[in-house]
Amino acid sequence: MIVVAYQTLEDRDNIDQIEAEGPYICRRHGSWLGLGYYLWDTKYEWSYEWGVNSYERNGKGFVIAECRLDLSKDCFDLVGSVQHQMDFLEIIQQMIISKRIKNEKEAIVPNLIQFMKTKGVFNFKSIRANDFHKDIVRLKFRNDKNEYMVLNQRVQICVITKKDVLLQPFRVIYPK
Amino acid sequence: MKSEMANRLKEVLDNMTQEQFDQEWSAITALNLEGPAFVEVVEYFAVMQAQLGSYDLKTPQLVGYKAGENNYALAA
Repeated sequence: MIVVAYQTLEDRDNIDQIEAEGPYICRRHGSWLGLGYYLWDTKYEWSYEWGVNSYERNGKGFVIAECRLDLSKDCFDLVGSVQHQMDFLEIIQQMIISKRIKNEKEAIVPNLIQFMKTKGVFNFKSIRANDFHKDIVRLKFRNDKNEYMVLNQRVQICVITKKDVLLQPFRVIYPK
Repeated sequence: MKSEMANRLKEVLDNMTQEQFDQEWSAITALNLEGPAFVEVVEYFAVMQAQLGSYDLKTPQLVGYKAGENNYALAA
């Protein structure tokens, strides 16, 4: 699967550099899927919203760059693969059962993923995950039942290795 | 049935001393990453299986948790 993806970056008047070097690795502590390059999957509006909330509200400008990502191989797909969701729960469970982590505050997903990377257990090139964003759509299967499908979940991709995943060009599309 | 990845993780952990684990784990925690806590899925495990042993469920993170929203805001 090849998807269009967007990365929101602070505007430092360096578009040529961004297009030559991007995407950039996430340096925030909130790299919730571990170290990597974080991009928004397909929907440009999510990247724009992030720019407004993260940069504009802090008095900074932002740019949005677009590229395509090849997720056909070695993507840990927590959106599209039920098997990967089950695997994900099982590795968390395995780590809990092992009782190796002594400080519960350190028992978090990004630490586990980083640990598995260093031990050669997690060899994926990207991770795809979604959330219950404020704009999700809950579509009831039937009016008299509680079950519903969820549409418009916000999807983020953490690219672990750019090689074979990032398809050039990486091009700044905002501002135009 | 465990997935291949869970089995490989188990194998790695079984072949490490706690001292080795602590050393490697501390290098990772030094990155100060933030993200979803295991405790958020413990409830699921508790329902699915009764074999997890003791894990502190008293943390307030289970109360009023909104899946992923904050994490995304931090990472994008």
